[in-house]
Amino acid sequence: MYLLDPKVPANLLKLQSWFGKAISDTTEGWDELNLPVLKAKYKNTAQQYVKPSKHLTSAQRVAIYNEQYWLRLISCLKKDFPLLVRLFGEGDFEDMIARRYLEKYPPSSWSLYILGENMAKWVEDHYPNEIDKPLILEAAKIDYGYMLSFFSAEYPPLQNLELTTKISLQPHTHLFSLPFDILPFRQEVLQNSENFYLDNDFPKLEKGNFYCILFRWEKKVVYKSLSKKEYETLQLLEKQITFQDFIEKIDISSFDLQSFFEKWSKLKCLCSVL
Amino acid sequence: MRKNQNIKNLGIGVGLRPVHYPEIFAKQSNIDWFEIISENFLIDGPPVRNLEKILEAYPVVMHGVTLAIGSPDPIDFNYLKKIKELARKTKSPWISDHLCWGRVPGSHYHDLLPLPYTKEVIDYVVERVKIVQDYLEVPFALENVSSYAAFQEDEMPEWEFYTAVVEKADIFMMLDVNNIYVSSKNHGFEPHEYYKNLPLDRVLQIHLAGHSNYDKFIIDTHNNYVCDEVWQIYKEVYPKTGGVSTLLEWDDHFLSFDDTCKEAFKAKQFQQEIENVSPRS
Repeated sequence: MYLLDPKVPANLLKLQSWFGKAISDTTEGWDELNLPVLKAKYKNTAQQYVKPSKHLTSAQRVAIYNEQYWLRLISCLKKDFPLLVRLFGEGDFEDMIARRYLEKYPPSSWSLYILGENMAKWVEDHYPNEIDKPLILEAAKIDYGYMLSFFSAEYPPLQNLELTTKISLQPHTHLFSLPFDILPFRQEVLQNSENFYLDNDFPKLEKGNFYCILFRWEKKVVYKSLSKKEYETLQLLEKQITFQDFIEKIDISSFDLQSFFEKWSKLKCLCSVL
Repeated sequence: MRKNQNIKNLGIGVGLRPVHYPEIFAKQSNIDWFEIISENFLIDGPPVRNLEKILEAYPVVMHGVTLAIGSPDPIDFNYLKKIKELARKTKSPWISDHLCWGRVPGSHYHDLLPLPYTKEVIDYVVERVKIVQDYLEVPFALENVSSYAAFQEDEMPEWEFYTAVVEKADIFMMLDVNNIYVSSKNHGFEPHEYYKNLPLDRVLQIHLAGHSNYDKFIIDTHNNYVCDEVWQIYKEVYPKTGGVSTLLEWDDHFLSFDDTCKEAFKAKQFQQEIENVSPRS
């Protein structure tokens, strides 16, 4: 449920409701000044709210804000989803993905970091091409995973392991089980410009079952490939768990506990939950 | 007594942008201070670690972009709490945001949208600003925005509206002289009409920036050098403020950090041209 400030003047609310819809709706082509053309329902009512200027009609003045709205948000999505941008090229990413995504999930928070939080869901629900959907979906998840890893907190590292110690993965770690070996593919693709693959072949993308972890290392997000067993063991630490419970859930006879904790502590992926 | 009498003049600053981090961390710069976009540091992670490093060497001032004080939804105290926590960390001597609106319940437009200049809106905004000022407990300033649209229901010019809000709420002005110029061209008024009617003793900081001129309208893009007309406004406004902190905003088509500072330091030349102005310290 959305709340209003009880003291907001009715006229102000009316204007803001109209203006907000007009600047965030899709438009119909471009005019002679290269400004977007508002839909008729806004074009015809613009003059009720907005004064024309010496050079611009009321609708054109509103259209400047409409253009800025889309430019700003699309540019944000381009930064957040660099692999998706390269899979489509900038133009198609904008038309086929970003605009349609924003129509479905317009921003509702002050934070633009979470603008793309529903991208994977949008791809799953609305991406039309069933043939390449699996790859697009994983690309969306991985791109957003990189974003989340970069901006997540880092808690004090795990120390003094005792049976009652509560352990978990650092908030900046993300585990993935993937149908493609997409991380080395992503790394290679990102070395080229946004539109490079419009005229060039993509590198080979291996299919199969792949497991990996994304985490932050020295202010950069990096990945490490995992065995299935390692992946499943790390999964136990996605939510906080006591060391004792952890030991009870793994097959201790075939598991090198010391090496496991040494490795992931050294990579700063573990923390003790306060 | 001037309203801004006790506000420190930090000198010449530039907006802190990640693209400049390698240069900033490589050697101490002669820039006096940095302004940060508050929202970029409200979530923990590497940006905050970088900021901590900057704080060891430079004063930092917080400038927000999403308060959207004239919006119709209730004030977001979760957001303000984060701002206040960041202010404690940065020791920001003041906090600024914009005199605008930017969302309706359920939708955030991430823009600095102009308000209708009416008495009713002044009263609405003033009441909200007072709450924000009381909550933040550091001097609070609102910035004039660049605008591309004016409303049929406007009852007064922007400068009258801006003045009424800051005086009635008893807060400060973060005066963007580029925004005065951009709006003057988009709405057809003379820049001096704007600033000669402002209570300039309430200005605690001046913003300078470049813009993009599309002939029939101008957009405030922060991606260009400060134009001569904007320097002229700065030259006329600065002495009347009593000498306040000055900051160059540059947000796209970036220059090197050194060249960005060079552009910002042009402000010093204009300050030196002005006789009998001794910046407070």
